[in-house]
Amino acid sequence: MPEEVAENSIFEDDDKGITVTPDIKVENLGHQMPLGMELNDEELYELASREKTYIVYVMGPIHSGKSTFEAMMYEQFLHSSVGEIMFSGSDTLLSFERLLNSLRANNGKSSVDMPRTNEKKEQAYLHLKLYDKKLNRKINVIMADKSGETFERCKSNVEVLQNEYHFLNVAERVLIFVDGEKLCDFSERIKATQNVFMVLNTIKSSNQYHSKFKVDIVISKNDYLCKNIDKGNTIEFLEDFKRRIDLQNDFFTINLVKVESLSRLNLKDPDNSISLSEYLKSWVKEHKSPNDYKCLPFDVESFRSEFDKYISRWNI
Amino acid sequence: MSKNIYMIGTPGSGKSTFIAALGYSLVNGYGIDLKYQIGNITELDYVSQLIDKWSMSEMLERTKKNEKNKIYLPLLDSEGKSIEIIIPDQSGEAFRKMVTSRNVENEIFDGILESESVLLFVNPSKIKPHVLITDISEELRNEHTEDIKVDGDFLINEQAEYVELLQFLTEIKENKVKVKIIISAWDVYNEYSYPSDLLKEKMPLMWQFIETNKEKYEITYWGVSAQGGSLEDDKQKKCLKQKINPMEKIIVVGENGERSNDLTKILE
Repeated sequence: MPEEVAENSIFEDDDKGITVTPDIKVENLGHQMPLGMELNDEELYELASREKTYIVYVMGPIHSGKSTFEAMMYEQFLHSSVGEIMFSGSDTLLSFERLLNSLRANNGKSSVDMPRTNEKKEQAYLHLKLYDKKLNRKINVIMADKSGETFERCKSNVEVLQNEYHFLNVAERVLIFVDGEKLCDFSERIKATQNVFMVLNTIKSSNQYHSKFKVDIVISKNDYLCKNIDKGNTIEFLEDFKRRIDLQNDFFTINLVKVESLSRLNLKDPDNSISLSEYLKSWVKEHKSPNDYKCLPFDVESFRSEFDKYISRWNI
Repeated sequence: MSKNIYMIGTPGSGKSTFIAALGYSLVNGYGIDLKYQIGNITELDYVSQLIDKWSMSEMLERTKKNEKNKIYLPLLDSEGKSIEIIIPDQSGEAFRKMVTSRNVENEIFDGILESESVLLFVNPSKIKPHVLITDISEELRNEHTEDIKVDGDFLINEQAEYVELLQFLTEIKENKVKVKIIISAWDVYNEYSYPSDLLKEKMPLMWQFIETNKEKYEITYWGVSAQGGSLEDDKQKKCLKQKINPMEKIIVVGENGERSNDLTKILE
């Protein structure tokens, strides 16, 4: 028996000379390809260190339309390019397809039933690589996709917000979703709008906040809202909501945006809603190339990671 | 000198029919006008079976799920120089499985890695329209749900499948990937002049992806009808069977709209 086996050998001396042929089946494991699902922090960091990224945080309560919005942002490219903007790839194509599956007619369902975003998942970033034909450049749009439960935990807690949305300060945009259906419901609308102001105050109090913070208050399901706008005093309520949002302009660059994610180009309220294609174009248009950035001094110590340091250089 | 060409495509995309028609073209001596001619053969059993059915305008059986046929075609170019084309013919299910499992079998991986170019087969007539629940009226939705069965994992749009396959190619091959997009069933789309225009209209996601990643792919587009018509249509089938020269069934449309019935042009 070879000496190297002897020390911890399970064989007794009597077993000398016995040949043991391990009955091990080695499977042809093949070659693993990228998973095509949401990116985690490390994968986002790796992408952002190689290529230009445009990070959009999508936040809001459960069923406020976030996942539908994200799915439809991708879906429009299944039909055509979005003006001068063309689809150039995605590292999370399967994630988009899974989201879209809940919207497809061939899934056997008669109504839209989006799956709940997993609260505990570490991967949270959806990726769309887009090519701007006019400017001849590519941009990686990253939609940070956190669950409604996470939003509920973060909206009034600075520490939790900082832990869960830790790239908020380098995001190009933050979208705070308000469910348009709830705005038509007397018993739900105050809480729906209260969420917005609560989270804005929390962001303002956190280390994520800076003076150039861009926020879009996104009213989803605007087609439903449009259909029910004449009920009660919804119009006045909305006007008051808008007025209160405008007051936040001292602290944020803030916009009110109304979307009908499922309407595609056939908007029910074209005077007030923005189509997803127009909304996406506005993102791509505003993204600056590195040459547009001016260097400003920044406090290196306040950044938690190399990623923060790198990304802030593009963002300043 | 050998030239490895690897064929990829989902089920029903036309790979086997292409081989049958190509085999027929080469073996039957049609084609002093062909780019290549057949050289000395050793074994073409699989191709011979396909040719027999194709020449009689009979339906080819779908390549079985685990079936792998490697085709070696010895060819001579116009100067008498010999080259060997190696075309592995995997079932389309193998490629579909790659996308869902995110795993590429060693044999496929090595085949792609060693290949000089990839023929990517697409049959737009098999692509289901992308319809959302909200595109259907509420009355109709409620009327028909009980008839629809859903099983297994979520469904992936065919366009997304093809984009993933193309993305996989760049994971496998480090250098620029030479891909020939073969749009099959061209007889259905005869009104189009250019294959890329057809792809842009029928598979816009895939077309956008290709057009915006030219630094990663060297792409040529081809429109091909290897069958000449639908064998499910009795009238068309009869017409095809009656042709004296089966080569007349074949339609090849080049990138710039030039037409011929020479499939060997695609192998260049």
